[in-house]
Amino acid sequence: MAACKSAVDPNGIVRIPSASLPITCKLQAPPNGVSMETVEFFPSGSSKPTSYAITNGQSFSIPAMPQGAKGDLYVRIGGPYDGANPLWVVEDCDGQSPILAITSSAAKYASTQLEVF
Amino acid sequence: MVIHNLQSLIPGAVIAAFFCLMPNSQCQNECSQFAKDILKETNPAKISLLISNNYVNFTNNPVCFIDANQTNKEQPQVKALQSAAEQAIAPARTSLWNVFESLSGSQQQGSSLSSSGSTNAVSKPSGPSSLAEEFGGFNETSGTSSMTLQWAPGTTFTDLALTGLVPLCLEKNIPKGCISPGLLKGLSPFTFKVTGNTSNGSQSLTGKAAAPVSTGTTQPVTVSKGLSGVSFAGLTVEYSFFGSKDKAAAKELTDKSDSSSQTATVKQYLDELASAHFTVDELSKCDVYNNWKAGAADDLRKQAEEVRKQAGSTPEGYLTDEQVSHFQQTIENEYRSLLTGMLKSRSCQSSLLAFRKLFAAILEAKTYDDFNAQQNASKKPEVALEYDLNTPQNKPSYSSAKATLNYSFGNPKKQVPEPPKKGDTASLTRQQNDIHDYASKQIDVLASATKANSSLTIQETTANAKPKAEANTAPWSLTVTGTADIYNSAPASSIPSSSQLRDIQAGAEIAYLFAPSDKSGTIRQLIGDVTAAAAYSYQDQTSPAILTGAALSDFTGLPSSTTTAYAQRGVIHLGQVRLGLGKGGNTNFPIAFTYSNRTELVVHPTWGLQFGISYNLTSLLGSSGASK
Repeated sequence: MAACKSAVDPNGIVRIPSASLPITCKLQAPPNGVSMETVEFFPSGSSKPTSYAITNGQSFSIPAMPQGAKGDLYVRIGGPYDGANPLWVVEDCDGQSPILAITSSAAKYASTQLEVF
Repeated sequence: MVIHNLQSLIPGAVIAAFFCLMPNSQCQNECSQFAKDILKETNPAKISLLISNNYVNFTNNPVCFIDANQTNKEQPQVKALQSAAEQAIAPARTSLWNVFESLSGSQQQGSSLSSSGSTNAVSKPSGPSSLAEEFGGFNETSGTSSMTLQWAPGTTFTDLALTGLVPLCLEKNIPKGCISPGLLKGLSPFTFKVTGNTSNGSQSLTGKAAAPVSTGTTQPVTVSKGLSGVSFAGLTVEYSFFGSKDKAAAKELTDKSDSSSQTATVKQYLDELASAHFTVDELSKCDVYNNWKAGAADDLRKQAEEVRKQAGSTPEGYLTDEQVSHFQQTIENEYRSLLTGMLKSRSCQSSLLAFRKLFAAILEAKTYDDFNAQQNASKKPEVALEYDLNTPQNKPSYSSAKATLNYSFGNPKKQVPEPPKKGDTASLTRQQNDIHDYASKQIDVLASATKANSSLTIQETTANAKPKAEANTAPWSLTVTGTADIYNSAPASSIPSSSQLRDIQAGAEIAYLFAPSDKSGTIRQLIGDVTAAAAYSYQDQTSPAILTGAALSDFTGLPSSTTTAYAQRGVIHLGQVRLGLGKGGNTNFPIAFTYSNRTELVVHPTWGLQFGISYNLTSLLGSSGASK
């Protein structure tokens, strides 16, 4: 397992070095039957998202992006998520660095800010 | 007219109305759970993400934001939020309902049989607020015309309330001067009618020779007119005590938290909730949100650290309910002041457009419910009781007690589809798509509405609604009536076989609604909805028809002292075929051909043509569903 490339700053922005991309992200210990339905990246200032391919409902890759790229990553899940604990999307690495937290069982989705440096 | 104020537009309104009013609302749990999630977390990166992803960006977890603004229910502003979403979509729903009602087989075009110029052989249980002028009354010996003003108070007040002219009560007497849903439901079954004669059915010219001694073949005369102007002809009070379509409409349109439609609505809402991320862009234009956002994450993180310090080094184990509750309160207070600020700021208004999809989703879900409620209402027979006070010209006044039953049946062109289940949006049936498109179109119209073009807006929403209502209305209707007419004062004992019971009547009408389809030609589309009806009426004159007053001067050979005359009594069989043009529109043109074996006075067969024009007055309130 590789070392984690992403880091979260105190404002909750996920920062990734451009040279480290692509990276793989996954659901961390999802409840049975819970899977990712859509993963979309909205570059800053654009309303046109890029959809990321999901593997087995459990993981996806953030592709290569140039330095300075920013945007919002949206993840929507399906299945029996009850909201009792946050559902984490993490980088698939040694320390499982957090990328995004879903807490609403009603919404079943969340977004996080990404910044490539 | 839709955009009353910011309160009715903000996203919180939509979310509040359909999440936190749900039975067993999950609002409290989610907000408390969220507070616990932050306090339990020890990883700084995760704490930052929890706060950033779900607190600052509350569109990701809107339930807590709504919960915060729902808990302080004493604030009128907050109360207003609860019904804001309903109010926003109300004009579109009212238009749809009004079109449904105007197409309903239980709605009478014009006046009932008792009116002197009536075009209807059989009474129906209800009718819209309208003004009708009718010509040719078949129950009269000579041609006459009458004007009927009809008022359906429940429909009028429902329109007033739902279009915001007079607010619908959120709570008892809040806001002041509001109309309560209970009053609307109570008034809905009533219909009142007042009829006036607009022309005289009997000889109205009298005169005398100006030069009595002249013997020429051409004579000067002084002509005087008999009765002139409008005279009172009667009034009607009708109460639909079973299966009232109007009452069902008022109930469906005003019920909120206890509505069975909640589940479908919320399902739809959940489907569309993902679209809320577009609001992030809109929120970035909101100055109050941007100011708040700048320090919100940092403030909350510090507050959380403070609570953790108090709880000890192993937060999960030592967190007390009180600490969690206190932290939850901190979050809720922040959200409350944020919303209060947003409500006051103009720059936050653009959030509305971003949430248009959500409004459309709610309207779509409500439309499924409206279709189902309307069809359920139309499946029940409607039974009404009616009292008429009749003051016919040259006849003694009498009262009518009438019972009317109307039953609509036959399969509509389309059956109402079930709302799509979550995740089914990609494979909607054609009918589901139809309703989806309808809701989107209505929302586009409503979202662009302003006070200046509100009447145009209503015309548009109505035009959108009409084809849907046509396709979902049961085309056949059967109406059966029974009537007893009683003289208001006992007839003179010198009249043989006279009694206070004037006559008894029974009648039936079968009608079919022809609605143009998408494939209909231009002329057919122009003609619009047409009702074809055939009716039969039986009247047994238990007492001879009585004639009084000026009409007696038309009879030759009567002594000048005669004040009352009577005709031969008998049984009247009356048949009628009628076309109701403009059904479902603001202006109706009923045309009827009637044949009877006799009239009340004339003992030989007679036939005649009657026609009328009636205008749906509800349209003047700006929310009628009728015109295209």
